[in-house]
Amino acid sequence: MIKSIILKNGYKEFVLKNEKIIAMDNVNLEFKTGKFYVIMGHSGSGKSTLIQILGLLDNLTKGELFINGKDVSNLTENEKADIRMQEIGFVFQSFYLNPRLNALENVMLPMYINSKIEKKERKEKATKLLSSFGLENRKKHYPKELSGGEQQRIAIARALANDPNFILADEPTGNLDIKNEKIVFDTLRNLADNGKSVIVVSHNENIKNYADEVIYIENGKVR
Amino acid sequence: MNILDCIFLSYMNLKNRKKNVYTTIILISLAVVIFVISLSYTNKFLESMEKAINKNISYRTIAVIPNYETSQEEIIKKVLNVSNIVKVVPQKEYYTAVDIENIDNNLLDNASVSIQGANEDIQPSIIEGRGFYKNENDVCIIPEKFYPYNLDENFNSEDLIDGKTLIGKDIIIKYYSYDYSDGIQKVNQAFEKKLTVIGIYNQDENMAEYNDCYISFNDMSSIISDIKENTVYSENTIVAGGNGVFAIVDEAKNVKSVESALKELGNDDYRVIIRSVANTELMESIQIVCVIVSIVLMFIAFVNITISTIKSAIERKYEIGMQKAIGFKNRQIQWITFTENIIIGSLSYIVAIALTVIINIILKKYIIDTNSQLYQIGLNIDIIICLIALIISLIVPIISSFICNIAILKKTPVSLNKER
Ligand SMILES: Nc1ncnc2c1ncn2[C@@H]1O[C@H](COP(=O)(O)OP(=O)(O)OP(=O)(O)O)[C@@H](O)[C@H]1O
Ligand SMILES: [Mg+2]
Repeated sequence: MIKSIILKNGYKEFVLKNEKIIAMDNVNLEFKTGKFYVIMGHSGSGKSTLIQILGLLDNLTKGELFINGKDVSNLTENEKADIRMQEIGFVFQSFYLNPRLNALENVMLPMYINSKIEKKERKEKATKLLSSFGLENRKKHYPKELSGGEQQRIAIARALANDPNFILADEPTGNLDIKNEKIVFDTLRNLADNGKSVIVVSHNENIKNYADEVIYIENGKVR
Repeated sequence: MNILDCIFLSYMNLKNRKKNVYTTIILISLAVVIFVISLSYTNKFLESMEKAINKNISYRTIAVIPNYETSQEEIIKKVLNVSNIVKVVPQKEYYTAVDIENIDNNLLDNASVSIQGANEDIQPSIIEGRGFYKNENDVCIIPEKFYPYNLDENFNSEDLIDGKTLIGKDIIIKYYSYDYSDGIQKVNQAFEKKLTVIGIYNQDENMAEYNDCYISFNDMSSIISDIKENTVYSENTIVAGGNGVFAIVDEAKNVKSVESALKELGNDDYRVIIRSVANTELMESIQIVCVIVSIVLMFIAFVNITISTIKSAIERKYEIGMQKAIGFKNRQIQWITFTENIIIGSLSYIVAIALTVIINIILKKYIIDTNSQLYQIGLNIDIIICLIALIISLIVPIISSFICNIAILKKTPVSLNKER
């Protein structure tokens, strides 16, 4: 089966007090596994809107979205939640970690709702993930005790918890310094090399060096 | 997601908003404490009051007073048709007051008691000695704490006689008939009667006075006949009543219904009078007030909890938005929230019951006068009310958080993330 995300005639509008904002206008895109995609564009051009729709965090106004060949635009909320859990790992600019859970518990969190992962496997799997990002000594630390780069790597480890094919990241280095930025980009590149589809929104020019494909967005359209 | 995972995740969420959890627990447990204590005490108190009232026939007695020519026989016939009436007693067998000449050969000054008719079926419960046998005469039952005088302001609880010491002893009572022919009251004839004390009853548990004694209906009847037949009236004296009957109801709670049944049956033949209306009405209003106070408190707790839950919605948006983004389903989030609230509710309940027990012990020990039997009976916690409180303390947080969750769950993870 083909592993891909395909967006056909994607259209998204926001209606605000009689004013209509078109955040995505007739966008056609295809994302394959094993590749690193970068989405670039000015502020307000519609990058976040696009990646959130790709990650099923938001709904299209018009158009079709296929994940692994399946039309997901008309699925129920529960079915979408299932796809988010199995196929998509989302990384946020603000990390979005649970401050009361330690690093290990944060990474384990998505495994609680995945019946394919047995209870006793959780800890081992999460530990492996953290080790692969050089965080084996940080397992018991809470988010506030960690640097931004470390927190973002934990967030990436969490995104990988259920072994999804697609890793989506919206400005993952927006809150990080240059050193941590490089670590995160290396990590993401590595994932693509290992067969994942990595889609990253960024306006950082450095990222182009890591990308297989750069997509420019302007006023909700692909340039 | 199995139940242990669910409990773990809800526990983690609760840790996330400790302050809110503490306020909620304090509010619910306060409401539960007041609910359980006020309702238990009034309930147990009213229960024991009702028991006491049931034991004392005078509170179960309805006086039926004839109008004009209706004869006593006719009234008795009519009254016997009403259900829940255990005995119909002619007025002369019912109640009077007499002087006491001596007790156990000791002369007493100005002594008197009130006496009331009784038999083997209708009598207070005996705590020592025995009760009436069938058709037994010339015997009496006295209070455990006996005070054979008028209960006036000179009453001093140290003067109470221990009724136990008088069992088997004789009491000579004295009563008089009068001559009114000159327009003033003169003693016409004095009578004496010997009564043997056969048993004692607890006057507090029977809501009776320290000088309420029981003799047989037959003895009552002969005492009143002695007085009536030997009393000389002047031409102008209006001879009052004497034709009435007393209907004794099986249980105090049936008095009201029997009263209305009697009224309906009687037309204009007789009037119906209840001896202790005020008592039952007071009981009912105490209970209603307590229920209202508790409901108001629960409502205040409910509103407060809802407000504080809504206030914590910012944190909940963070939690729920993140969980949704990771792939949690609404149903799973609801289960986690549900478990959280079961935890909050049960913790509050445990705190509340612990507080209630402590308060109960303190009140029992230091505040309430332990001399009074009635209060001792009243100060217990009612299990049924505790169970009702448990249900309420679980339902209140579940409902209030459910209200908040409905709004949050409908939103997409993106809008939750943006709003925070
Ligand atoms: N919930 C919303 N309601 C109304 N308008 C919105 C909403 N979300 C986004 N928009 C509008 O859609 C357009 C695209 O927004 P989007 O967040 O995708 O931009 P972006 O490219 O991610 O910008 P940035 O680089 O600043 O993050 C903007 O004009 C924005 O104002
Ligand atoms: Mg953006």
